Amino acid sequence: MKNAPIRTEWEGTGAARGMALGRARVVYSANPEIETAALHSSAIPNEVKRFETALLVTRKELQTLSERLSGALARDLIEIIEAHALILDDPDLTDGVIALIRNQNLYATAALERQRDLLVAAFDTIEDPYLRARRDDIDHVVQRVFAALQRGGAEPARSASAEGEILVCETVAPADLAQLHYQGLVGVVATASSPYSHTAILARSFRLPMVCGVKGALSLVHDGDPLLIDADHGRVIHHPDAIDLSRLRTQQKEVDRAEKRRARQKGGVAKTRDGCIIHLHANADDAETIAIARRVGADSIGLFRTEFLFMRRRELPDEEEQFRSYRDAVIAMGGQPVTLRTLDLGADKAIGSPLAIGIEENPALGLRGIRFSLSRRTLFATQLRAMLRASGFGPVRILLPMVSSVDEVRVTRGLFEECLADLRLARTAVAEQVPLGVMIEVPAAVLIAGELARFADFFAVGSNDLAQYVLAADRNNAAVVSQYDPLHPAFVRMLYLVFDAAKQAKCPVSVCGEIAGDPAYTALLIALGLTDFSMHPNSIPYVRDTIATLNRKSLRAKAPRFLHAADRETLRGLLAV
Amino acid sequence: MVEQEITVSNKLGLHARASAKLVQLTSRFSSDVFLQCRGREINAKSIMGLMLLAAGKGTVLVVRVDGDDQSDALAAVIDLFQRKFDEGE
Repeated sequence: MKNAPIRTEWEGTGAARGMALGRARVVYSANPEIETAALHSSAIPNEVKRFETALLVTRKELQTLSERLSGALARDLIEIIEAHALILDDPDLTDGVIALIRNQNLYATAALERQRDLLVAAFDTIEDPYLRARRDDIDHVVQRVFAALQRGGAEPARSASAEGEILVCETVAPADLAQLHYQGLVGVVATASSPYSHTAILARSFRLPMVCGVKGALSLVHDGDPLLIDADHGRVIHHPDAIDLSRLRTQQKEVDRAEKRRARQKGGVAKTRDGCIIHLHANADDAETIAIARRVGADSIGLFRTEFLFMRRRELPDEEEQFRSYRDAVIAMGGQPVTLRTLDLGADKAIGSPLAIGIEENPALGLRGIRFSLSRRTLFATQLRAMLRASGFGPVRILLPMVSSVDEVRVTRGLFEECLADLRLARTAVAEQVPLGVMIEVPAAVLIAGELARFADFFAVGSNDLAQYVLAADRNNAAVVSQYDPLHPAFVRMLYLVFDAAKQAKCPVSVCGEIAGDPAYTALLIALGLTDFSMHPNSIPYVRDTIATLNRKSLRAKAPRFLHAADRETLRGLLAV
Repeated sequence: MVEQEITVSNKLGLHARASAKLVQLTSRFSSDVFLQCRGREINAKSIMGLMLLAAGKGTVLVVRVDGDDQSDALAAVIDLFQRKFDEGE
């Protein structure tokens, strides 16, 4: 007779949030059959050949995997797979194994295991947790070779549907996780791995709950066993009972309710409790982000970055290539405006031969954005022409980055008018009106915003750079990251100066840095008078939700108190009320 | 032989994808490329060696290049580090 299942709870580390209930899909990836016997000397050449064949098969497998990938995460995943292909070709791995087969008379599986252990042991001594987690990458590659050795070069078995299943494994390769995700997997329990692994990063972007470091799970869970993952608390429950299930249902109801609320408002307008409409725009740089923007009902593309066209390549994109890319964005937005930002590169980002600026002592204060474009007039005119031509297909606005003086806008305006006249002369379709705006991201631009408004049709506040310049703190520098704080009174006052100048000059203004998409700052920005937010399209539903809970009138009334706050604590207090 | 000091400045250091880019780059040159750090020297054409170097952000490395195209190779390596491996923001 079968015993009643016993509820067991394990603790691990939550690596990707959420709860999931499903049937276990157990994969013992870490226990390949190792042939421990000594290899007869006459069999050595064949065994080396067997290993080389397995490498070949694995290489082909990785190639097929990367070809089959599509969607938003494909680019990142392909980079990981390329790294795995290099590990596969690395002499530290392959020559080591072949030497062990030849000199120690080991079977390929035994030699591979020994070489893997050697390499992994070296990784385990690394202190940096992120870099130490890279041992996972070696493991994943070695597992593939093991599998190929055991199949003897046959095609890998096609995995069936993973609908409603929770993967239980030691660790899983990112590409395999992507595959399982498409097949309906609902969660991951890993006995090893870490929140820093590529797999965990991927699980987070799939919103797939994952708990790692759950020791013992593999030896007790069988295929088909019911499992409950509570990744927020790092817990895994084997054979969950009625109380567990009711807790899961309560949480799911909450999530569903929030989702439904968002779905109802999908495409709807963002409105404060007192009925004021706030416009939510999307930041985008490719077809995928534009598609998301459409799906979540963005009012327009508030920032379309164009750097991607110029990066990672040897030749510059010509006018035709740029035009096609801008035009496609305009067409994809179906009549809603697209704000195209001209090239925003500096010495730290300028790449490859054609645009290399040379080494600068301090690229943040160097030749970048509009300064760079104005130093390369032909390049700049080509981009402006391509953007103007795109306006023949739908509303376009052109945005200039890193502006710090009126002259920069005046000169650009001249070049812009020349391009426009040329295109009209050639009877090229160009919109009647193409607004030309400036990014406000340098303190100098804030202080002359009123004057800039005479030459600019709109403002877009680049809050990331503005905060960095106002606070003299690089947000990517861990040592000063606490100094980089959007809730600094100086930064709050800077924002207010811009909004106020824009209002005086009747110049539309939006904010397109990270604070625009972070619900923690929505109330502050509304209090200061902002009505146009531009953010990653994934953030739009959350900001829309937050806006629905705010009362604009009472926030506006609090504006003076925000402006007189002397420190972060006071500002936080005002936001908490 | 040419060499130059460089600081790892991308956020995550020489992780798998950054190492992969470096290997892909150095493999295009015929010169031997080595990285020295904390008294160890590794072949910059080996991804495993690079990952094992565990060079996090802020680590100072010496790039040593030896061969026919050494100046080009050194410039390309320095350029990749300064581009922060094209990882964006």
